[in-house]
Amino acid sequence: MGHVIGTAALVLLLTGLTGGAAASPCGEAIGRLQAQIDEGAEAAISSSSGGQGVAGAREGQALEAERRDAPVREPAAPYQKEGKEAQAVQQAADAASGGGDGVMRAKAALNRARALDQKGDAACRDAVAEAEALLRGRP
Amino acid sequence: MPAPDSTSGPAIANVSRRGFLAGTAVFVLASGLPPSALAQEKEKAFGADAMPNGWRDDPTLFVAIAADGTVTVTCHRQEMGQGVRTSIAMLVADEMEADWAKIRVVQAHGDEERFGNQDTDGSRSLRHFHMPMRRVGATARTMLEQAAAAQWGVPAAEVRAENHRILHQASGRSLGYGDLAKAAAALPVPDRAAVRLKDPKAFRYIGKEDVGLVDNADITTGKAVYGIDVRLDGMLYAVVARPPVFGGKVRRHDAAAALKVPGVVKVVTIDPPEGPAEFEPLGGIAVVARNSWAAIKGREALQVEWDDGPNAGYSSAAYRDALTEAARKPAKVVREQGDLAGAMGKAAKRVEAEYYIPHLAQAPMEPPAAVARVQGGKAEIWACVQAPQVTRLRLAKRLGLQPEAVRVNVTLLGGGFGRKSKPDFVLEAGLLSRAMDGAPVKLFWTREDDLRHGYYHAVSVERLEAGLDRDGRPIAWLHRSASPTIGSIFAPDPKHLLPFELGMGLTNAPLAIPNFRVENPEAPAHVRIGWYRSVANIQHAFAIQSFIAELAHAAGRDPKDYLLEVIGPPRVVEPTELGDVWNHGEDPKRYPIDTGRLRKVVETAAQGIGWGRQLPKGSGLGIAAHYSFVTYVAVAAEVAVDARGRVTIPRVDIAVDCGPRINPERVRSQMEGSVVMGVGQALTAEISFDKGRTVQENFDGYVLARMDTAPREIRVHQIAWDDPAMPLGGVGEPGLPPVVPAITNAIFAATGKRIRRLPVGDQLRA
Repeated sequence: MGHVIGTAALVLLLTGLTGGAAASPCGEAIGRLQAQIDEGAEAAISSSSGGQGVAGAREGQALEAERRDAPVREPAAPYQKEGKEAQAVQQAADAASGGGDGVMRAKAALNRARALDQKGDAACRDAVAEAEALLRGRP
Repeated sequence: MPAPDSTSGPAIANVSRRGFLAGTAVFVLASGLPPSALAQEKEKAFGADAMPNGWRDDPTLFVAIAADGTVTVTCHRQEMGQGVRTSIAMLVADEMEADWAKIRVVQAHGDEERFGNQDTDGSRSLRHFHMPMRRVGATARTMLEQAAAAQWGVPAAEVRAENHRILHQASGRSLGYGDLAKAAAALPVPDRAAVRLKDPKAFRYIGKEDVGLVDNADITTGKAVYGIDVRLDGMLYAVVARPPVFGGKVRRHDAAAALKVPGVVKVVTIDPPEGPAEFEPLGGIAVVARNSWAAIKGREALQVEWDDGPNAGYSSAAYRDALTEAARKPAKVVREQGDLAGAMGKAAKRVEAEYYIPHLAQAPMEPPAAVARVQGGKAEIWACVQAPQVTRLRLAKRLGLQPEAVRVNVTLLGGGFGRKSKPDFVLEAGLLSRAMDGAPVKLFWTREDDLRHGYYHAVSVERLEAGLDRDGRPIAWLHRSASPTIGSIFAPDPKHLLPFELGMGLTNAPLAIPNFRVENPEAPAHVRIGWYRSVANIQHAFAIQSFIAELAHAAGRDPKDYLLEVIGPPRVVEPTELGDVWNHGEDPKRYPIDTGRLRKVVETAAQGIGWGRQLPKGSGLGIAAHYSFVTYVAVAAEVAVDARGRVTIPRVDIAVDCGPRINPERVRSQMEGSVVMGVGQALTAEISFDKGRTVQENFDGYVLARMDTAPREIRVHQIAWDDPAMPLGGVGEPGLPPVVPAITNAIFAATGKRIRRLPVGDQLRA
């Protein structure tokens, strides 16, 4: 088994950055959002389960519901009895921000904010706002 | 061949549970459904715990012991050649301390509330169910021990199970399992905490290589019953003329000539779906006859005028151009690390490439087939389905029945590869039986039906750009993946890939490149897109592993050394840190990505094939690695290309690390099968469309690996782990993704020709 190295640490290692050179206009917001994204990512994994069938059906319907800003439709593919499956899809839409789509994109936006923040670039605030909107399901 | 009869007990191993219970067993643990097991999980759950209804930690549903000691194990996962019926039975038998010679296996019917999740997809039957099945066996053993102890009036701690008997060493007494079955059945099921699992050192079957398939004898003697083999008294046969273009429908038809074909009984219209395709029939005109030949000839005689609908202009050539154009523009960002633009600007060298992967068809050797009998407000099905409970619920909905009124008996599957997860063909059978007033109807697909009307693997254009530093190391990486989504069969007109598709080797690619972006352009679907063995990992692995080899060439480096450098130092990364939000449904903390294990399979495959050895002109070695279904696989291939551009593959070495192995013989066979399947993908397999219709209609056009293209030698290297507490990885699918890039990288080494478009086809001809 290898050593436990996080991605951020690996990035620092590979780029030779030592940090601390610039002010951190978004540091606090990034830390707060990171926790939400971690929580959302786990919710997304949990809600779409292990098989490609369930994942495809739930993520597909959850993403559509988010896109239309509407409740999920009657489940297209009954991976369990309808009432339960509707609950599961709704959970995927809500807790996982569109079946994980919102969380995934928010993570990308937050990493962009992080890169800007490390340079002391105030534009990181726009990226943070974008990440917040994606987590709320309003890209 | 006799028909399997769910009430009287069939002649094959796939007996129904009802039939079995009515038969000879005297020890059948009670089959109540404890309310707690059905309770909805409130907290986050992963893997099988997160599946619909969770898993059933209830031995009463899976084991029965007859008076003669025969132990019958009910397998709730579907058998399609992967050996799951054997592996599940091995788990139960080992913990039971049962004699393998007295084990038989029956197939569960579709009932998720009773058996837990039955969708056999995602390479997870053992990953999710090995512990529950071990507990099933251990619980049964505990109850037998308790029954013997009570009979002898000794403490249960003084007895032990050994090879199908309970022994009391102090008195020298022993009783066989059959002798104890009735008394044990009367005991309450002990709590999980009171059940002792075996010390792995004492395993007799788990992890051993000498357990043969339980179905081997039936398969090799022709007794095995697949979906296409089922016959019922008075059964009719049917085929369907479906719209040749997805989304099309019947404008008008004339059945007069068809009805004149001897044996044709009736012509029935099946309506197309109104919404997303999901698992609904495509619609069309069915011909029902007294035999299969008459049904086929009747279909040929049909006069049908089709309205081709909105996909009439679908052309693979034009669609490839559209995907390529989309992949050349900025798109939806789904993963981002570092400062891509800044790093690209500083790069000493930039490299870019575009890869094309066509549609593929699962093409199981047994095309879809189902028998349905719908009468008296009930439906009974016999079919080769991967997801029987979905089949049950979907059919109930379409027929307006309660799920409890529908029984789905699962036969053996002559291959599945994802196609038989979609029960559209069962719905066709059900609708036709109802139309025939309840007569049993066998609905079968011909090979042409299968290739013309499938749920195709998604076509894809993968565009990659990299910036290299002065030493040739990648410091910036951009990957745009343009491909229609599987979500298009579940929701109207989605344009982007779903998180689970992106999590197949893209948003979770564990590469040590500091500035990294993944984008996903829009790509509308024009055919039914479905999952195919290893799914989106196919295109992602092909593109990434080809591109890494291209970068190695640009940097003047050895491809294997360069691959290891791009993987980076051994480290453990949570996939959610990279941007993945699927992780194959597994807890990211329990299932992180360990690049040390990925490196290890690369080194093992390279060592196995003798990486670096001298080869004659026209021969070359290629290597590729991929992490999928929480398993690590690397492939090293040796190819030879003759003067006419014909490719032969003398040897492939495949190294797999799937954690602890339950059935190593099956791990080996799945890897071997993956290699052979991958050869077809690399060299010849392609489904293309013109005017919305498939160009390939049978195996003359859709060419899979054959004797002359299959590798002459496949060596499987399994990484052994001693720690039974380690989580299991998947086995059925993860072998496939690195096969194609290993072959095409080897072709480059042999010829200097880089394959960026699959299949190779005639690209190497002079």
